[in-house]
Formats: sequence, C-alpha cells, structure tokens
Amino acid sequence: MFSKFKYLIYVSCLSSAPYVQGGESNMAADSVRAPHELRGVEVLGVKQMPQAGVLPVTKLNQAAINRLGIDAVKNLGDIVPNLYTPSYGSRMTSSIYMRGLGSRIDQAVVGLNVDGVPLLNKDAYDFDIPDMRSAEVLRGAQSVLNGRNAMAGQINIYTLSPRDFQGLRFMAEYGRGNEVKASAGGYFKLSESLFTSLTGYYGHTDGFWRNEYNGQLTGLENNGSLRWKTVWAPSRALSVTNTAAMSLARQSGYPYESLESGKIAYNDTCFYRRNAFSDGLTVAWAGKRVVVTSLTSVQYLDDNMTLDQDFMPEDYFTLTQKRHEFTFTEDLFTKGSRGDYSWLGGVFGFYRNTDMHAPVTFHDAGIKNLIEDKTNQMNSSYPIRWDSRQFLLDSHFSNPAGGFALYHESTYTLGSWTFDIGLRWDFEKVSCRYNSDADASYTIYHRLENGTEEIYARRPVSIHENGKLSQSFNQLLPKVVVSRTFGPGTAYASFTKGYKSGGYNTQMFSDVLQQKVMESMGLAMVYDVDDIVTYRPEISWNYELGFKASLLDGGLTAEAVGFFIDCRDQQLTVFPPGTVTGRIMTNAGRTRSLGAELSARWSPTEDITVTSAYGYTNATFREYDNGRADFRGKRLPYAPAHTLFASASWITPWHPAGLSTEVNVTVRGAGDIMWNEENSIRQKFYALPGASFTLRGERWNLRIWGENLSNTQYKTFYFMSMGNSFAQRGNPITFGATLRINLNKY
Amino acid sequence: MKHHPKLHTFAAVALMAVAMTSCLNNDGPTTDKFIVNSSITPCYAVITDMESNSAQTISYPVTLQCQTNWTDEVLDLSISGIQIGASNLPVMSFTNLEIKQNKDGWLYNESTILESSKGQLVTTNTLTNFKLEYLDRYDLMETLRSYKPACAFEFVLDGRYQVAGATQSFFMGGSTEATPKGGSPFTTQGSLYTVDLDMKKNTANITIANAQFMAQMPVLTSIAFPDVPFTFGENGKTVILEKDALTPTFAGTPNADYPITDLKGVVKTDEGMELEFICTYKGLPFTVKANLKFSDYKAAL
Repeated sequence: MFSKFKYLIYVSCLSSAPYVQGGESNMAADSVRAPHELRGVEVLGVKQMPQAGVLPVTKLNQAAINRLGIDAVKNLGDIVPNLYTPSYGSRMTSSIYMRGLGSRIDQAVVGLNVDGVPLLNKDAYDFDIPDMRSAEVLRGAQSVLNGRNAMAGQINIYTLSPRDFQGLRFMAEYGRGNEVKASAGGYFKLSESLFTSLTGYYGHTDGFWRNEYNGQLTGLENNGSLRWKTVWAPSRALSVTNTAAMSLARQSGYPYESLESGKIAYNDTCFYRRNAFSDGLTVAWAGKRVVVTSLTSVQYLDDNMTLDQDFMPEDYFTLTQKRHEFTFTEDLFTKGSRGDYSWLGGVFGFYRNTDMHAPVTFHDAGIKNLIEDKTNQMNSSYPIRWDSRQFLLDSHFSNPAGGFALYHESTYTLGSWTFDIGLRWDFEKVSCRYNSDADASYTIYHRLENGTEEIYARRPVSIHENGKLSQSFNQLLPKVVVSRTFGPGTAYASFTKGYKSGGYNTQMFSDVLQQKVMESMGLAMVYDVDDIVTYRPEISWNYELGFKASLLDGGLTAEAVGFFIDCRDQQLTVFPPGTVTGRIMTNAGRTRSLGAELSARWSPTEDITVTSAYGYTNATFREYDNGRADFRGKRLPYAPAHTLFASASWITPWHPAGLSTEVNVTVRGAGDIMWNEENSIRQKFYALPGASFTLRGERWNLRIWGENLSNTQYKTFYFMSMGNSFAQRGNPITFGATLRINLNKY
Repeated sequence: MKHHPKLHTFAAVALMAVAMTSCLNNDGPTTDKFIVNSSITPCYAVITDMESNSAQTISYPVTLQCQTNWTDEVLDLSISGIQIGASNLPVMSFTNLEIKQNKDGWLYNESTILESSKGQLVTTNTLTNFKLEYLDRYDLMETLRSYKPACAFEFVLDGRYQVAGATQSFFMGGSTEATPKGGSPFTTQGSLYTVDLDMKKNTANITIANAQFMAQMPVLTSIAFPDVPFTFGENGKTVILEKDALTPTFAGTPNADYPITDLKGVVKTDEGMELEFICTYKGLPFTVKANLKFSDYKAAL
C-alpha cells in the first residue's frame, strides 16, 4: 500500500492532443476505422489498438517535424516530456532515458520501430531520417505489443510513402560548424497499384570542438543513406510494402573534455564507423472484419568503434570494438473489431547473432601506472618491468540470441467506459561464447643495497580463457487500462508490467583479463566470468493516471499524466567485496520513479499556435548497495528531473506574391541531472531558446533558424575513468538555413 | 550416518575423479555400492615408546589406504610406513571398521582394539585405543581438482608404542583478523591457509591464498612464510610453529616491505590451527590472528 501523502500522483484536468497541425502532410496513423475504409498498407500494418490514443503519446506530423528541425530520433528528446536523449560520444551511444529509466550500455528501455521494423540494437538508434513523415512517442511501458526493451516507452517512425506523395523532394541545409545536409527523393506511381520511391541523403559536420593535443576536429562526421520503398496494392484488401535502407556513418568522435584541465586533449585515435542495411517487408490483407499483417525484417550492422580509452594525452590504452550483427524479425498479427469489441493479437519471433572482436591494447603509460607501479608499490626490493611497452588483451565474442512471443490485447467499450486488457508471453534465450587471450612477460629485478639491480626472474603471462555462457528468460507481461469519457475529456487509469532483457556485458571481459594478468603477478582476486558479465532481466511495475481534454472547439487541447514505476532487479555496476580493483554488472538494485507530465496546445486564432510539454520525474534508489556505499534514497543518475518544451508559432498575415511566412520561437530545457550515484555532481537545469523564420512558396520553403540563442553552456554527459573526470559539452549557439523544394506531380 | 552434504558432494566428485599422479591420490569407486578408494599420503607418525625414555621417533612417509563404503558405513583400512627402530612394520590391514560422521563432516572410527590381518593370517600387531578421523575431499575450485584431505590418527601399538600422526600438508580456512596498532580490526573469511611440513628440515612452509589485511590493500593471491621451524606437541597430536622474524614471499618473490615477526601457530591435527603473527607495512604493525578449521577449507572458497 502506498501512502497517498508520500506518493502523491499528480492529476489535473486538462485534455491532451498531439502536435498534429495542418501543413504539408497530415498523415496521422489510423487504425480505428473499419478495414474497408482503410487506405493503405502503412495504415493496415500499424500495430496499435484504438485505446492507444487515450494513453500518453506525442505525435508529430511532417509539418511539425520540419518546423522543429527533427531529423533523428535524438531530436525527439527535446520535445517529449520526460524523454531525454543526450547527444554525446558518437552515433553508437544512444542513451535514452524515459521517466527516470534508461541505460548507457547494452539493452534499451525504449523500443524503436521504423516503418514497423523493430531495431533490436540500441547502438543503431542514432541515424538521420530525411524523409520522416510522422513520429510518435508512446510513454509508459509498451511491453504487451512491443515486448522486450520497451519498458519505458516506444518510438515509432514512419517515412513518406510513394503512395501518398508523387513527385520530387529536395532539401539542402547549411549551418554553423560547417554543417551540410542534403537530400533528394523521387516518388513515382508506376501503375494504379504500384508505387516506388528512392531517397538519398548526405550529411557532413565539422563539429564544434577540437582535440587540443593534435589540433584535429572531434565530432567530424560524414554520413549518408539511401532508402528504396516500394508499395504494391493490387486491391483494396491487399497491400505489400518493401523498404530497403542502407546507411553509412564515418565519425571522429568523443569530444570528452577533462574537467581538471578543461581541455579536450588525447593522443590516440578515436573514431566510429558504421555500415547498416535493413529490409522490411510488410504484407497486409484486410478481410471483412479482420486485418492480417506480416512484418518481416532482416538487418545487418557492421561497425568499428576505436577509442583512446583513457582520453588523456598519455599513452594508457586503446580499445577497438569491431562488430558484425545479423538480425531477423517476424511479426504476424491480426486485428479487428466487432461492434464495441476490438482486438489485436499475434506472434513475434526474432534471431540475432553478433560477432565481435574487441582488443584492448595497453601502452607504455598504462603498463607503467596500472601494472608496474601497482605491483612495485607492494615490493620495492623486487621491482618488475614489463618486457614489452605494449601488449594486447584480445577478446572475441559470439552472442546469439533468439526469442518468441505471443500477445493479445482486447478492448471493449461500454457506454462512456472503455476497458483494455492485454497479455504477452515472451521467451528469450541468449548465449555468449568468448575467447580471450593475453600473452606477455615481465622481469623481476632484485634491487641491491648499492642501488644496482640484477635480474631475479623472468615470468611469462599467458592467459587463455574460453567458454560459453547461456541463459533464458520467460516473462508474462500484463496490461490493464480503464478509461472513461466525460464530455470533452477522457480520464484513464492503467497498470502495466515492463521488461528489459538480460544478457552479457562483453565490455567487462577486459576487466576479467586485467584481473587475470594481475593475478598472475600475485595481486587481485579473480572472479568467475559468469558473475562479472551476466545480468538478468529488469522488471518494472507501472501505475498511471491521466486525463485528456479538448476544449474551445478544439482550440485548446491538453493532457496530464501522473505515474509511479517500481523497478526491480535493476542492472547496475557494483564492486565485489574484498577488493579495490574490478567491478561487475549485476542485478543489484531496486528503484522507484514517480512524476507527472503536462502538455497542451492552444490556438487562439488560426494563425497562432502555442504548444508546451513539461515532465517531472523523481527517480530514486530504494535499494542499491554497491559493496562500498549504500545509495538508498539517492537520485538515479543521468535522468533529468525536469524536461521542458515550449513553442509559439505565428503564421503572419502578410502574403505578397503568394508567399506566406511563419515565425516560431521555442525553448527546450532539461535538468537537474545527477552524474553519479552519490549525487555529488550535477548538471543544473538549463534552457535553450531557439527561433526560426520560414518563408513559404507554393512548392518551396526556406527556413532560417537558430538554436541555443543564449549560448548556454551545459554538459550532456559525465563519467569517470581511472580517477579522472570527463564531460561532453552541449552544442553552443548554432544557426543555419534549410531549403526544401517539393515538386508534386499532381 | 548422516551424510554431510558438502562432503557427499566431494565423494560424488571422487566417483568421477581420475587417479592423480601426485602423492595424494584417489582411485574412484570399485563396486556397485557407493565406495570410494583414497590414498592419504604422505603422512607422518610420531612414535613414543612408553616403556623406555628413548626419544620420540618420526616415521614418514606413512600411507593410509582407505576404502570407504558409504552405503554400508564401513571402512577398510591399511596403514603402511610405520617404523619402529630400524624396522619397517608390515602393512597393517583392518576391515569393516564402523565409521561415523561428526557435525563438521569428518569421518571417524574409534575402536578399542584392532588386530591387523592379511588374508587368512593374523599379524602380530595389535592396535588399541584406535582413533582415525579424516576429511576425504577435493578442491573443486582448482582446475585439476586436486585431492586435499585432512587426516589425524592415533593408537597404541602392541601395548607399548603411542602413535599419533596426520597428513604432512594441512589445508584450512576460517577467519583472519588484522588489527593495526591503535586501529580497528579488519576481518575476512576468504583466505585459505596451507601448511606443508618438510620432515627432513623440520621446517614448514605456510602459504596464505587470497590474503587481505586491510580494506585498502589489494587481495594477494599468495603470501608464503618459508622455513618456519616446527615441533610436535602432545605426542604428535599438535604441530607447533614458531619463528621470530622472516621475510615473506609474494607470488614466489621475496618481499622485505612486509617483514613478519613473532609468528606462532599451533595445529591441532583433528581440528585446525590458531595462527598469529605481526606484519609491518610502512612502519605500521598489524597483528594478524587466524582462527582456522580444516572443515572450513571448502567454505572459504
């Protein structure tokens, strides 16, 4: 039982609405109408229940996407309450936090689908999407329909279909930091039932920061993508869509500055390279009362992350992580309605195999400071010296994972009441085959009384570890939603269970090898590999109350949500007892997260629109003892307590020569963000004002924009490595111009 | 006999064990019943002539060949290597000795009188006040699953010779408390102690695995105290270790940064060891006390 005074859940009586506005394209996904009224496979293929609109969701149409300059998943974090998607490191670091839940590594807490294709690897979440048609962010656990790793929410991105638009589209953008973006797309109707489109994109930026050690730009990036989409709809009942996409990213990266020196300065190379390919096939058939949809995808990811892992001018160590990953998914579901009853049910299966090569190379400073000095401080009369000033800790991994799920959701409407109940059974098996090697040697010297040294012994260091780990997970994920409509508003209460998959943290293998090297020299306790790298699933119990209303003939829409999340078996890093070296990832914690989200849209006139979204999260540890300290009651790190977005748009009444103009001002904010479990370092709340002016013709528009106009300085990321503190700065004031040309055929 | 679950596991593992090439080895089961063959060697035996004032003699290596029948709770035992004067006694064999298990997992037999037999013959050796205790175990944490038993025996031979002995290597675990001068004690349970007796030199090597004497100290995989003189007490039932000062070795390398002084240890061959020493680091002495049990060796891993 929760004390109602201690766990006050905030509810206020405002209604909600997505940011759907008129403009270039208003293609909100619609799964409510009867099958024979539905217009295309993209609509037929949407896996959503009618009740989905009751629950908290942020939707953007293409006009809003263009106005707000959203071209990647990361940009959504600026405008969705309690969603935080910091930009740091490289395209591989896609940390997403929602309502206090999140992760920096391994499994995601927010699912991502692009045109129905689920991306199972969080490392592939960050990419530019030039032809984004609409986006929606569903807040709260979405585990019934989306399964694993949608514990805090689900993001669905839809790209423009050649069935909805035929013609040519161009975009060119230039901004500060020598940022260049360009895209071109052709959308063609080949016949009454066959449509195809091809979209290409290129982006470049120099970034804003330099590595002061060598003068090179960090954050330098070139990336490109190609998307080929084909829609075949031979009848009103059958639709087939295939989307093939490939993307390339080449990035120098990791503009991490040392907090001690205030400089970005490291000597070894850092970069991230990624090639990705995916193909998604959606086949939908609409019967009299039922729609059957199959979503099949194959995905391939090939990337290389190379880091100066100490981020300092000294030569400590470097890390390379090369990965090849193949993924197959199949989602087969049916949905339909009969009177007041609607349902959706299906089966989902996936297989993913990841091969990774992750060598860590110790260099001179690392050998000296981390191995020799540590050993020699224990025995000054017999100092050791490594025989080579560089050696390799080499690891190969193979991580196959496969899963299967059955799910069903039913909705029944009784007068003004609607009852929604769902259940998913999710089974998954993951394995890790590892092969780790280290071959080196060192010499022990005997320091004589006269100060000279003689060789005492030579010792080899030969470590060869291999094995296989395996675990399976079995989850039942229920959901209950009850809602009632009161005139202009709808109130709801929901209970859902969320689930984040377990697995293996392969980054810990370098710790295992380091421990074994030290153990061969007489130091450190060696832990079982299984204990160090294995972690079990995280489970959350989510409780929510919300209210949405539309007033003033739709001129004012608002939404208010209060939530409480009880998260168990949290995946956290701890230090095992009895050692000063080494760390393991384990299910050590329990957290609770409570908060509220308020959003509103007000249009006092046809030309003026004001939107706002505010999120508050109080997320703390209920249990977390990492072996050195107890963090009970402390705030969860990396998730902001407040998020804020506000936007005001004015379409000016001046229309010379058929032109129109639009002025838009925004403010985006987040904070306070704790950077560690001790809550001793934080980023205070910061607000970034922005503005844009758009000149619009019949087939083109030119947008001149500015972001962070106050040039606010803030940090997006903080971490510690070998006792040193590092952070990444947020982008400074930026400005640019974007030209879009749409040549509709019709 | 209540089977101690921990040792039952060891015995079950022993069923799968391959015969070891080291002096301590185990041959595995020989019948359909749950039978384990163990060769507990090398042991020592302290022999005291109760009729004369002659000095004690020490026989080594002594071997105890045990065939433990867990199903019927009996033991077939052979003892070899006992020397009286210049003569080696023939192998003394005993069958169907009733065995029990105590709360710490030791198997033991206490017999008032035993007469050794070999086939149809009855030897001339008679043992009275016979007591044998042993822990038949493998160290499962080690890659080779080495055999590390504990064993203590005593009897009176032919009414004249008091014989008491044990294994020449002791493997123990338990609590280690390190107290800096003027500071608070730091206690760990994870250290493992080995005492290897060199019967020729009358010295012992004491090895501590996973040693840690303060929270800030890295765990040391192996500290060894070499060449610690020992004597037998209580006619062989205890081993007394004592050395005023020594330089320990860390992972085989001498380390004068941690001089050891005032080392005193008493091994009770059927129980464990109390060990105390002073370790000085950067001028700060730490008094270390270890309270160890043979039966805690596995628990400490």
